[in-house]
Amino acid sequence: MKDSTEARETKTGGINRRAFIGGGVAAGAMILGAPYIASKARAKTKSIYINTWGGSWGKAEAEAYYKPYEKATGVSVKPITPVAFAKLKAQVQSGHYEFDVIGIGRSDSIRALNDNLLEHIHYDIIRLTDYPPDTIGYNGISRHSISTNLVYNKKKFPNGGPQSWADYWNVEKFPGNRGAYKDVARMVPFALLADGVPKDKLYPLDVDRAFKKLDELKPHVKVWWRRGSQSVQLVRDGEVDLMPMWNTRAGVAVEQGVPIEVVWNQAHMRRSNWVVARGTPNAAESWRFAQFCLQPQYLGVFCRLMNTGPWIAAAYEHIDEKKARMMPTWKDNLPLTYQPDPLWVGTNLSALTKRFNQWLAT
Amino acid sequence: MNVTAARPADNPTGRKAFRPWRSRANLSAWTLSAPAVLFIAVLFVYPLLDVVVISFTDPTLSLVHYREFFSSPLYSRVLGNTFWFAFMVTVICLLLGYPLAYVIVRYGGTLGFALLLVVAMSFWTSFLVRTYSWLVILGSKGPVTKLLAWVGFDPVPQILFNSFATTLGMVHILIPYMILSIYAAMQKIDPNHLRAAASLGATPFQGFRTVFFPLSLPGVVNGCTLVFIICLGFYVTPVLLGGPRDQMIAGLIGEQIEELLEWGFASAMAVVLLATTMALLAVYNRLVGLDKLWG
Repeated sequence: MKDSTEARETKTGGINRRAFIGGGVAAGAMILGAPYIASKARAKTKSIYINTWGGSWGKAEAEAYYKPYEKATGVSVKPITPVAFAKLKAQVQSGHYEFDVIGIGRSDSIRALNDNLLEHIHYDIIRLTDYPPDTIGYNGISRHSISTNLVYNKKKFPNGGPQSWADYWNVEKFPGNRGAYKDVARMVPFALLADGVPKDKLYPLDVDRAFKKLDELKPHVKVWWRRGSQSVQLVRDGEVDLMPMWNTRAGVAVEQGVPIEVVWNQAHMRRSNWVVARGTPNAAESWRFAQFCLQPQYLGVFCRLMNTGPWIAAAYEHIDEKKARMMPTWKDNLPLTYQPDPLWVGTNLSALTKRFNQWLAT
Repeated sequence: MNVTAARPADNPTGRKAFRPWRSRANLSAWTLSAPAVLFIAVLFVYPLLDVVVISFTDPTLSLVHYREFFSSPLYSRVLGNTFWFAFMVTVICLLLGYPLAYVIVRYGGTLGFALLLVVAMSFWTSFLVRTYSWLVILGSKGPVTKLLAWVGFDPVPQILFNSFATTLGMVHILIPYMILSIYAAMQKIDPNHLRAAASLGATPFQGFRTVFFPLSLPGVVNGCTLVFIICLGFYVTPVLLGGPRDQMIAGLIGEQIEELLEWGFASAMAVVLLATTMALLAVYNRLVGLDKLWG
């Protein structure tokens, strides 16, 4: 879900037209143009194409993954930006591949699997026994996690800030401008946690109960943010005093000197998996690339640069402890967080989103 | 196809028939336009038809997406909101843009050039940058809030994250389209027309009302259509500056395509948006006569 949100951030004016006529033109142009050129080009030199973000994310991947991979194998890695979950569907359906590899969330994987878009794991390359249990599943392998944490302004709450979603909901004990995340997959479990549901009993989510709790919060929300960059801007300008925020972006804000405290208790964990587009002629090379990137020395570099939490514990040997404390999979943080049930979220997200949009609009 | 027209000798109407293969001039016109026609057919018409097809057939042949659209109060509400918003922004752009274009064209000189430069620079600046700048200007630590506090508002009303901020941001982003369209039309007006009107005894206002304004109308229509249509597809600025009620239909369509992979429903929404827009433009055309103004 986050990936798709971020995707819009990097797009320019052209998107409006595209949205206006639906995906048609984009899909049409894609079918007709780009992949043809891409497949022509790839016949000459051996390359794999990875769908990823531009900006600092892309730079970090280039440094941690592409350059070492090219050096080790001679296969060049070409980024295609920005991340477009919808393109995965378009290219599998059309049979023209613009990219081979993409990192998506686990619940996104469920939706992708419903449309049969993901290549199965090549187990001769990804050895099951090499990875911790639970990192392999739904035709993907976990690389890292980004969490959504409660974050508060230290200056606003000098005598101790909110420590849980119940505190975040408590407007009397913790008065202040509240931001909220316009994302139903996060706000519904947060509401249930605030209402006293223990974090190991969250799923399947009691949606009715959650919306009743969200009703309490709604009048106190000053702004609903949607984009990562927006959330940083909100805390930096002092627009809000407490709100949910990605740990990666909170880390950027802290490095910029914004006086915020990141609460690890009840943080929402989003797992990002390497997956491969079904039917791509580069499938084997793609899995070799994923296998390469999961080695601790490369994963560690990437996580150090982007504050994402690696799922391979040995990667922490390449990350200093100060940095590690900002990561959701760090040994002190991991037990405090909760992980969503991807199957339940993936299956129910459409209905949830509809209800959430309706709720927001009234 | 007019069959009689194929034989010019007994063509009773005397009108030129559609026979590209007979006339050399016509043939070359067709050859020349063929690449453009093909381009439009392949890149615009085909994908659009595809969207219509998907809206009825994904995942199975049915009207289920349209039923969902019209049975839920959410989508009609957001659609209505989108059109209302586009209308408001267009009207404000027109009210602010027309006088500005008038000043640029009629007074020209350094002032006109400076104004045109400002408009063009705004046009070339990324709309994301312009949207984020409003977050700073209207923010709780920004100059506008400070001014309101200084004037004596207590508590200072929140001016960000609501329809006001969204409207302001959208007008700012779209007004160059309006100004440049009207400017282009006004530029073409021969100043001698106004002199002629004055020599026949018209006051400056009468000259403007009866001569200049009607001649500038094609620019007004172009600008309004452009701003209105772009506005319908806009959703980034409302997301950043608006409140939760300022949802735009394009945002919901994008969410369905990019996050939920529900292309059938997204296509149905796009088709409803397109059909509504066409219907509105048809009514507008009937009332105002767009084709006459476009010449």
